[in-house]
Parts: sequence; structure tokens; C-alpha cells
Amino acid sequence: MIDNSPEHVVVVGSGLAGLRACQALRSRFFSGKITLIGAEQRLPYDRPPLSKGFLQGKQAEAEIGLISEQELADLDLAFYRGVNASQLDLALQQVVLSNRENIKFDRLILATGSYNRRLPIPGIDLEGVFSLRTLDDAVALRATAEAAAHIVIIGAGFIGCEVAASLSGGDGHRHIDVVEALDVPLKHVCGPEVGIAIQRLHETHGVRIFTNASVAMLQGDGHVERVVLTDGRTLSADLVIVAVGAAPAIEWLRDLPFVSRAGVEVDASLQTPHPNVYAIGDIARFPDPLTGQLIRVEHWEVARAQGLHVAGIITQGPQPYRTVPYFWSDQYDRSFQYVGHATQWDRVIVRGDLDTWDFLAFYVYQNRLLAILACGRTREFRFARQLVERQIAVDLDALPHASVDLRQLAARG
Amino acid sequence: MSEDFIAVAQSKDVAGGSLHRLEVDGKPVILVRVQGKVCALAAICTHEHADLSEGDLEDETIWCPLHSSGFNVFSGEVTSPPAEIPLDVYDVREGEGYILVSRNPRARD
Ligand SMILES: Cc1cc2nc3c(=O)[nH]c(=O)nc-3n(C[C@H](O)[C@H](O)[C@H](O)COP(=O)(O)OP(=O)(O)OC[C@H]3O[C@@H](n4cnc5c(N)ncnc54)[C@H](O)[C@@H]3O)c2cc1C
Ligand code: FES
Repeated sequence: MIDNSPEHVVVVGSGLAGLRACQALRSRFFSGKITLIGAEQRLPYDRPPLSKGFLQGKQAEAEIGLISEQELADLDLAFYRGVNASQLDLALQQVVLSNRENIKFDRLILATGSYNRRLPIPGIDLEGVFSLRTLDDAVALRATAEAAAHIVIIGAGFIGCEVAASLSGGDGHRHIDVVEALDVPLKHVCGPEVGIAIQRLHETHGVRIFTNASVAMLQGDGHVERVVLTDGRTLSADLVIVAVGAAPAIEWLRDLPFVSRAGVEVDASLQTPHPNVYAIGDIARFPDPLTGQLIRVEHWEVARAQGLHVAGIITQGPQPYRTVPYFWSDQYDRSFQYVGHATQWDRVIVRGDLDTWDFLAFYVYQNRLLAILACGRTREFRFARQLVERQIAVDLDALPHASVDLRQLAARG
Repeated sequence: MSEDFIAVAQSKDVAGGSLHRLEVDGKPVILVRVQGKVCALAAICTHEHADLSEGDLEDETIWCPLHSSGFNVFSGEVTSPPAEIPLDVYDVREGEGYILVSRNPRARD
């Protein structure tokens, strides 16, 4: 342990990143005090199942916990459940809580995650309108969805797509419509070719996706009955799910110089300009290990890995976070995997078959391979991801050819 | 306690390099032969419950077919995320042409 080992680490946000940071501190034999502050009353749980197995009724609440009561007790934390951090005083090195307590820290880890963007349209407060971020949201949505006949999902991002897929299973008595503002779903993440393939996947399962469409208002008498689009079309709805994206939950930090709407800016060691304050998970704007550009990634593996990493930094000193981002998304019987973080590209190379949802898509910018999205093809993805993660130089024109063995390409690096 | 082991397969049927799915007391288990040694592990990925017998075996690693988690065949430990929890490992005995698997997974420390 380094000499100036802190006595008190305070972690704000008891989601994946914050909890894993606490656990990793203890597994690295940090013996000082750890305080964990979490706005949610519940024990930390896993979010990805909320739009998948849990929503489908295949997983119970007990199966999606991130920690058991006993494990939590063993961590010996001061755990404030259902309490918000409402202010950070850098000069005094203290956090002010919603219950008016002040907590002093030697090191502070910010891990407050995301909140769902709201849609400021008439009718948004009608009954039957949901969004999905917390387990409480998912419990309420699942209970209501059982009896719903006309479901409208606003937003065809990953969460909207997963919710559509999860709710479409069953006896097929329900209609599911998805309203998307872009001309192609997920175009900004995957490009138009892959976006169209994803749209077709949904349509094949009877889910309609209305693209280039925006919602003007929701109507109903107490309970939602209709979704009115700006072009005048109306869709029947007895359940509406708003899935128009998320934003970092950093309102309480907005006065700090290193915080903007883009996130909490940190260096490669996940440290803010204030040497004792770190940010991890959905809120962190950190240097992309491949390009050095500041990026913010709202995905599970980044949150988890940064939680583990920051514990190493606190116990052993600064070390760069070098893990290339990765995420998955499950829709129907397909699983998507993505490695890298391409914010722009000038070429998308497809290997395999978009029409049967069995492909790898390589995202290239200025002849540099920045990211890969796989649909199925897990085995090939395993080799291909190394091309991105280890920046192995390859002949890009060779990638589409089935005769080119990705494993051999990866082994050359 | 040999009564805690049950014969599950013939040695000749478990070749190196492939994954064999079977049930031990109703629990799904996979058998693999790696470096001549037979290993038995829980067949369900600890991440989101994919069937690992549809995954890949490569050297000492079992790869999940869904989100590419890797598990070591000897220890069950996670070698690649997103899985976080190791797979249960069952003790195996092999002799006289048969493979026997423990009814209960090995205890973790
Ligand atoms: C429905 C859903 C499905 C998803 N599916 C996938 C998927 O398939 N694959 C994938 O890679 N990722 C997925 N994600 C994203 C993934 O879950 C997140 O990236 C991850 O949870 C981020 O972890 P975090 O710890 O940064 O934030 P969170 O898990 O959001 O935790 C932050 C916690 O901080 C609390 N908090 C906020 N403000 C304060 C405050 N001021 N004081 C105290 N506490 C506060 C919040 O209440 C929350 O409990 C999904 C997310 C959702 C919502
Ligand atoms: S189910 Fe195995 S890695 Fe996700």
C-alpha cells in the first residue's frame, strides 16, 4: 500500500460501479473506513436484466442482486440507503447529504450513473406511461405489461429495442409499436446498414417501427389511450414506455469546473483535476484507450471494470485504465456484442450476412479499425475483437472474405 | 466416499477438444477432456444463463456462446468478463474405461 493511504473513502452511487469499487477496495485489503451513499433504498442490483430476463418474467428479483446481505455485511461499510448526495464541497473535502449530514472524505469516488431523459410533451403524466431505469420501474412495468394489448415504445435505442423484444414474446395478442425519430434505428451507433438489419429483426417478430417519427402528445382520459405523432398519425396505446436515452446523473455536481453536461472529466487514472476525487461508470468522461479522445460510455462492463480499477488506484497509486469498451445487447434470440467506441467512421465492412442476422460489422475511420459489432458469430467475434483491442494492423479488404481466418489474423498481432 | 460419485460416461466417448453435456442428479454439467484430464463443470453460464455446451472449448478455456465470457476448465474461474462468478467444478475420477463425477460441486474457498 502507498504511504499516504487514505483513511476514509466515500463512494457516491450504489450501482454497479460504486459497489464493485467498494468490494475491490476490501479485496485489496483496504482496511480504512468506506462510506457508500446510494439514492436507492434497495440493495444494489443488476440493470441489464430489467429489459430482458426480468421483464420477460424469467428472472426474479432475488436473482438479479449484485450482492447478498451477508456479503454486504462482510464489507463493513457505512451504507446510507435511500440517501442522496446533494452537494460536494471540494475545499472542505466533504459531501453534503439530503438528510443534511456532512461526510468528510480522504478520497471520493463519484459513481452516480444515469437518469432517463424525459419527454416534455402533453400527456406524459398520464397513467400507463413508464420509463425503465430502476428495479422499481421494472416491477411496475412488468405488472402492467401483462395485461397490455397496445404497447408503444418511444425510442428505438438499445433499451427500447430490448423492451420491444422482451414484451413481444408470448401469445402474440399484443401489438407493439416503436416510434423512432431517426430515419434508421441505432444509426448513430451502428450505421444505416446494421440499423436496417435490426429494424428488420423487429419487423420479423411483428413489432412495427415507425422511423422519422416524433411524438407530439399522449392522449387519454386519466389513462393513456393514444400516441399522437407530429405528422398527425395516431397509435392506440394502453401502455407507453419512454426510452429516449439517458444522461449522467450529475446535476448535484454542476458547479464544479470539471463537470459539464457531457459528464465528469477524468484522466486516464480516472482522477478528476482534484487529486482526491475520482469518477467511474456511466458518468465518467475518460480518455478512450485507443484514440485518447474523451468518451463517456453507458455500458455495464465499463462501469464494472472502472469500479475494480479505481480501487487499485486508491490502494496502489495511479495507473492508466486501458480496457477497450465492450457491451452486449440481447434481442429475441439474437445477441449483439460490440467492442471499441466509434463516434465516427468513414467505412463499415460487413462480414457474413445482414439478412440472417449473422455477421460482424467493422467500423473504420481513416483506415483505422475502431470498433466491431457482432450479431451472433460469437466465436469469430472473440478473435476479431483482438484486432481492435490490440490494434493489430490488418488488410481491411480481406475482412469480408469467409476464407480469411480471423483467428490467424489475431494471432499475428 | 465413492458413493458420492456416479458413472456418467465411458472414457472412449469423451474425446479431447469437444464439450459433452449431461446431467448429474438433474443438474446440467459439461464434460471436457483437456490435456488428457477429464473436467466436469456446471453447464450454465453464470452471467445470463447461456448453455455453455453450445460454446467453444479452446485450450483450457470454455467460452460462452452469448457474450464471450471465458472460464478456466480446471478451476471454473472467470478468465474473461462479463461473467463475474466462477462455474461450479465437479471432481472427476476416471478408471476402467469409465468416467465418474462427484454428485456435489467442489467447495470454494
Ligand atoms: C434497462 C437497462 C438495461 C441495460 N442493459 C445493458 C446491457 O444489456 N448491456 C450493457 O452493457 N449495459 C446495459 N445497461 C447499462 C448498464 O446497466 C449501466 O451502464 C450500468 O448500470 C452503469 O453503472 P453505474 O454504476 O455507473 O450506474 P448505475 O448502475 O446507474 O448506479 C448509479 C446509482 O447511483 C445512484 N445515484 C444517482 N445520483 C445519486 C446521488 N446524488 N446520491 C446518491 N446516489 C445517487 C442511482 O440511484 C443509482 O443507484 C442497461 C441499463 C438499463 C437501465
Ligand atoms: S450468458 Fe454467458 S456471457 Fe452472457
